[in-house]
Amino acid sequence: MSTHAPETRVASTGQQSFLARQQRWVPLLAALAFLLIASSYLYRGGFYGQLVTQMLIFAIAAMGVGFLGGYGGMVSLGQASFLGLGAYGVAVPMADGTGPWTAVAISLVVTLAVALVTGLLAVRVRGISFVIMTLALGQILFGLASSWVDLSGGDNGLIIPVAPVLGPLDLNDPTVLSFAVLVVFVLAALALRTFVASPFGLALRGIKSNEQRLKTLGYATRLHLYISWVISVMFAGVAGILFVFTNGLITPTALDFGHNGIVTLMAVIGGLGTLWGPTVGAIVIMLFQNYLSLYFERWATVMGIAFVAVVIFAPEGLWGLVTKFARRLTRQKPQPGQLGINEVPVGGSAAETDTTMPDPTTEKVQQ
Amino acid sequence: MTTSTASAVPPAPAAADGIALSVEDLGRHFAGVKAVEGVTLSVATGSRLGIIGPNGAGKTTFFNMLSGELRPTSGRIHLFGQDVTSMASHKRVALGLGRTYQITRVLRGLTVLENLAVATHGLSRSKLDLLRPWRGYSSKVQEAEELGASFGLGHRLGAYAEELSHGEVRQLEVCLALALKPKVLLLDEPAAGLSPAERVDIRNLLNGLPQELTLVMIEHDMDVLRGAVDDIAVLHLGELVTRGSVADIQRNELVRELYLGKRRQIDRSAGTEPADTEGKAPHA
Repeated sequence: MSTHAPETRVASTGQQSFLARQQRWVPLLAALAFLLIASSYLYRGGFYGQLVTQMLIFAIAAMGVGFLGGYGGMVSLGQASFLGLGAYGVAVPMADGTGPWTAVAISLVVTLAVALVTGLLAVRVRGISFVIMTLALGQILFGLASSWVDLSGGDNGLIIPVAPVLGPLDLNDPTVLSFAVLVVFVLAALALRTFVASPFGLALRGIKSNEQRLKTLGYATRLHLYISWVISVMFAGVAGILFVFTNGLITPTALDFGHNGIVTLMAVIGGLGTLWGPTVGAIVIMLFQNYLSLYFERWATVMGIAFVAVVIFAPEGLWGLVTKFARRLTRQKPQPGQLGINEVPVGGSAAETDTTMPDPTTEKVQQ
Repeated sequence: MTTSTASAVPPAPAAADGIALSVEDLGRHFAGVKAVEGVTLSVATGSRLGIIGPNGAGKTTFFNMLSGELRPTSGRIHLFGQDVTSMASHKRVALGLGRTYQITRVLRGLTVLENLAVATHGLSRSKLDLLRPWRGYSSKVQEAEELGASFGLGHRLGAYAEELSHGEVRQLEVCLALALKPKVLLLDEPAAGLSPAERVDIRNLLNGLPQELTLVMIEHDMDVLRGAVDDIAVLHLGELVTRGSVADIQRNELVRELYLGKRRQIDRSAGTEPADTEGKAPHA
């Protein structure tokens, strides 16, 4: 086998460098194509323009779930409620006659304050307890929105009369507003990309891998998760502000259990732990919602089956599937001879270390 | 040099010079089960202590208390004279305590380089940096690469930790702990499950550790311990049975019996007076 190794290695290295060169351009081109397509829909406006706008807004909220869930390992089931919080944060002051910009500022401050307080609770628990915790927090917000009638208008919700004006850009024009949403989406995506690539993001992935290990590497993991929680909630809050201006209305329904589930599904179906997964998930799910309902009476059933299929056959999500396929094309497979821990395999050691031995210690249960 | 000072002074005064790590009457109970009971020992700065004992002797529980992952139910732990008994893990790391795990805990979803980069950021403020890419910290990346290369992982930096062989995972496990430049390193069975060839690699790795590093190592394999540690403490049923030089322990009748499984009642007071029992077996 060792005689074959050099040849195959040369071949695959050549192939890799060719594909690697292409690889650098593919994401950039894909991003440009995405922006062009989105822009053309936004420019034409109408039903599709509105649909794409809503996709972008929910993609921002789903990115928040993806950041904390995909990189930190803590999947939130309350993101739509925080989106609603951001929306009410604008709508409530505006119902009292506050100007739109002031209302936006108030909304951001309120969302931040709620994120800081709820974070203290949320990062104390892990796993399924965290899911339940976020669900409960979401239900509290939903309960407030539907029953604190004096403030929230109850089930009728609150109507936003005007959107802000930014210099020459009047966001009351639906097209301008839609492009503003696109700009915020791009900024959110760039922020997410920056966070994920930072030492903070790297450590967050480490926490998902093994939180205990991170502690013995000097990390205050709870602080890390707390900051991530606040970031995640702020994504939802920003999405909520865009949501309320584009819809002109916020009702408690937007905060209910169903919507919380949908936003989480977007992140999961698209691919947790991937940068673009939540966006892909938002697009796919909203297409399902809007198109399947035209052709199937039981569209929700069809959607459910499709999601079950994704979870079973592509646990890494739709975007995870794409990147996995791309990686398979471009990445050099480790050669058998490279697997040994010795730089120069001595005697029979190479053969022993070639095969990844099952780790007997992982079978044991630590006391 | 260290054997006499470390074991002859029973409960080492916490602030005494030259003591890196000391525990007094340390105990941990799990719902009535005494995993560790009344262990008192100290480790001089720069010395190397091996810990042996049959399965279930409480070795890993002992380590978990030293590293802060478990709160002791009794006793105190001092690190360089500072009481760290109720201090969080990551703060002990900042004081210079590093550890590895018997059940390896490398970050499986990350590449080898990313694993090491996480570790090199561990004690720096940069670990909370959200805005600069971690690959932009060229000195940290270089440090991580050099560390990996110096322990034979140089050609595996781009591989995900879950793709590594068992031996490589063990190497990475030790590398992660060393990346923080600890002053006291706790190694939990670094050679567990390794092939003879890989054991040689681990021994070379241990021999290459800086001389001033204080080392506490759980290990069953006497061949690994021999030459790597100054003296050995023996735990059995959570209690410190004896402590002595490698040669003493190998000659020790009681230790042999413990390992060969001969039933024998152990004098309960043996653990509290390690100096008395050194080299000779206490009788029941």
